[in-house]
Amino acid sequence: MSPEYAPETGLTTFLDSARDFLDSAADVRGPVEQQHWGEGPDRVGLLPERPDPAEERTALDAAKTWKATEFDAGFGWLTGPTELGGAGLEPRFEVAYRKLRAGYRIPDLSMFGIGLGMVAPSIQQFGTDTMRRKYLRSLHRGDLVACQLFSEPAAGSDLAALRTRAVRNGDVWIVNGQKVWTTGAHLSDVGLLLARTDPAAPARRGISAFLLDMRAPGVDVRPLRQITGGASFNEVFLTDVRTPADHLLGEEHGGWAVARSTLARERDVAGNSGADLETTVDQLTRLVQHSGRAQDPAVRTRWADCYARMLIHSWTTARAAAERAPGTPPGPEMAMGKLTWTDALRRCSALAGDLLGPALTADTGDWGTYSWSEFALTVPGIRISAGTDEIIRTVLAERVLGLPREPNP
Amino acid sequence: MDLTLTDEQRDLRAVMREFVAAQPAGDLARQALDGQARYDPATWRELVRIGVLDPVLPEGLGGDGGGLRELAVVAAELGRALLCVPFLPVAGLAAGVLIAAAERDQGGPAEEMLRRVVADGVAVTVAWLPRDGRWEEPLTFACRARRDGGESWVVTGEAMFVPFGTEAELVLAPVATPDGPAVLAVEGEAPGLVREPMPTVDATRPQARMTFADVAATTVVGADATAILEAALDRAGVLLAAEQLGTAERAMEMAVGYARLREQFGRLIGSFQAVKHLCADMLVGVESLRSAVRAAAWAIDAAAPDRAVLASLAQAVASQVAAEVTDAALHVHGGIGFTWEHDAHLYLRRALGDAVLLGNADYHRVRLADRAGL
Repeated sequence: MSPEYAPETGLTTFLDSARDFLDSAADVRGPVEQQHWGEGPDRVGLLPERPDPAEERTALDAAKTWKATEFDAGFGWLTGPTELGGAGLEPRFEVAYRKLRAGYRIPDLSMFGIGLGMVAPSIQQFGTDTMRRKYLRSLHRGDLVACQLFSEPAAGSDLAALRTRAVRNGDVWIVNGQKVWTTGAHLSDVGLLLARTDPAAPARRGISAFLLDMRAPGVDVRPLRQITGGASFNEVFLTDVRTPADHLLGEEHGGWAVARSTLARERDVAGNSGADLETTVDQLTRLVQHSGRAQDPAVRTRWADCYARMLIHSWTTARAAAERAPGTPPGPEMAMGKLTWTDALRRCSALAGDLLGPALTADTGDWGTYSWSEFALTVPGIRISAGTDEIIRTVLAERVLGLPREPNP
Repeated sequence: MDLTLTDEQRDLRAVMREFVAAQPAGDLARQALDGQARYDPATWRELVRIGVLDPVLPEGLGGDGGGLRELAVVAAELGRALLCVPFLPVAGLAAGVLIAAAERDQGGPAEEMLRRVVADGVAVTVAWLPRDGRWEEPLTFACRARRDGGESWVVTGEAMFVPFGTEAELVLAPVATPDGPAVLAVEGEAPGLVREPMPTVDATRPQARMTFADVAATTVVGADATAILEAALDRAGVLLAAEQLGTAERAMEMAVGYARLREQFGRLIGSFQAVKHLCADMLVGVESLRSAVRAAAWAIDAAAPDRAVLASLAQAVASQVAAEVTDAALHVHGGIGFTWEHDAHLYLRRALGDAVLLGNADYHRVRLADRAGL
């Protein structure tokens, strides 16, 4: 049976020029099989842990240099409108480019994830032309790093209960409050802020969205230590922080629409961690092979389950993206990706732990063993982040299946 | 890899839904369970007439350019409706053998038989499993055979769990021979062949016990049939997974529909988180299975190098998901879901049988690991 699809000319030409660029700018990543057990770092983490600040700075600089090079070569913002600095291509070009790029060694770009996955699209959707022209190119070029200022100590799953206050004063808004779980705030130049602008209105109707300069006076970022010992995220204290009136995103008091759209994208970003899951399953595979239990049918069935879930996660998120009408923002069905992702992670963690036994929780010094403990400790955080698994289930049930909301007490 | 339906595939799905909706005399699955009606050859012939077998023939053999993806769309709709028709044995198992054989042997008896099956809608099944019902790797068979001059053979053995065994007009028998595995054809009414229906949990999936006592047979694949049989099992497995997808999808819809109607404690039961989360888990299961079926069907149609891995993956997921979703769907219905009169158990019965028809979930997971090279 012959393959059904002939390669499409436009995409082929594009990929040829992309390959030329990548060949000139990076080294090819060797096949994973070539990475030998016992060589190199054996970290199996999921979150950046914030090591030495100087190391972090170096990594950020390398990432920024790479992003700028990629952007200047025309590959930094493939789907963006050309008048704003993008290449004006359809999403499948982005998908194809990322797949190609995965075969090359490039700096870790995860610190741009929030800016590019959530903040920039929100500016594009809800910002004025001035704001779009001011920020989108810089965000996509990696000149600016962004964070998301949503959650608060009293407003986690119930985000609408947020209390950070923004008060209009002439042509600025003055912001006071506290944000929490802010990933990457310590590296960020700008933040997407949700604040209460009408305390008299019902919770969701009194919120506005803003872009905030993270370097402005009154912004105080403090690291939050997580159970793994590292600190991926922060508390952000806001004391009389000023943001210009034209940095309002969407309608005044209409910030909840921005929130919903951003959260859907967050699940898109979180759920779109297909590449991360592939790496995890790769590492798990090598652990199985070196455990001496690779022929045990019980181990084989559990490995196959992890492998299958990894593929299903990629396919399901790809399907949801492909079935979305072009130009429409991600909807509630994207939330499913978060569940397929966390479910796969849990099973990988469980299998790794069962294979390692006590070596999971006490360091023998052997390569590729104790490093799984960080992974095991990180998975609970992933299940909570980007909307807890339970919130996600409720979103799917209500907005995809049409089940009724719980009545308000 | 394209995981979305084409417009033609959507149209095919719509045609199938119309066909199902137009079936006479109401609930055929229930009638089957109550012992009133089982397989109606007219329903099968009508399905063949509207073209469900057209995608079976590869383009190289005069087919319409469709493939396993189109057959999977049909299978899912049949699974939704719990129709009692031999689509799986014909388009999955038998066609799987015949297509692989015709392609390898470039014509010959397999190609001629394939055309006959597709053109006339001959109800053909495959007699494979022995009494212990175990799918093995390497393949084992219920029957053995010896040559009886030219392309004639004599078959002996006892096969169980043969889908549509008593209803089939033609039986394909994978057999062990002195020269290795072969596949032979036996007429349904052949002397020496005794066919008895087995009582089944799912009345829409009849199964038979077949005893072959020196039964005359002709060659379909005379030698080296292993690779052909493996390919056939993969095709059939993906179509079975597609049927399970349809069954699970429909069961989930019924459960969600019930949760939106039934009130307790002064509110709809679907407004409680516990019920919502059960439904959300059903949704994730169904959509995961949908992805797996589409990926496997695509891979087989594209002759992709990883098609065997994906075929095992689809079956592993289907065997688990269909059973879990139909079970959860019954559970959401509460007490009424446990009554004979309610349809929930019809889906559960189908799913329970399907989960083991071509191997259970763990069997497929081990094969997945083997095929992925672990």
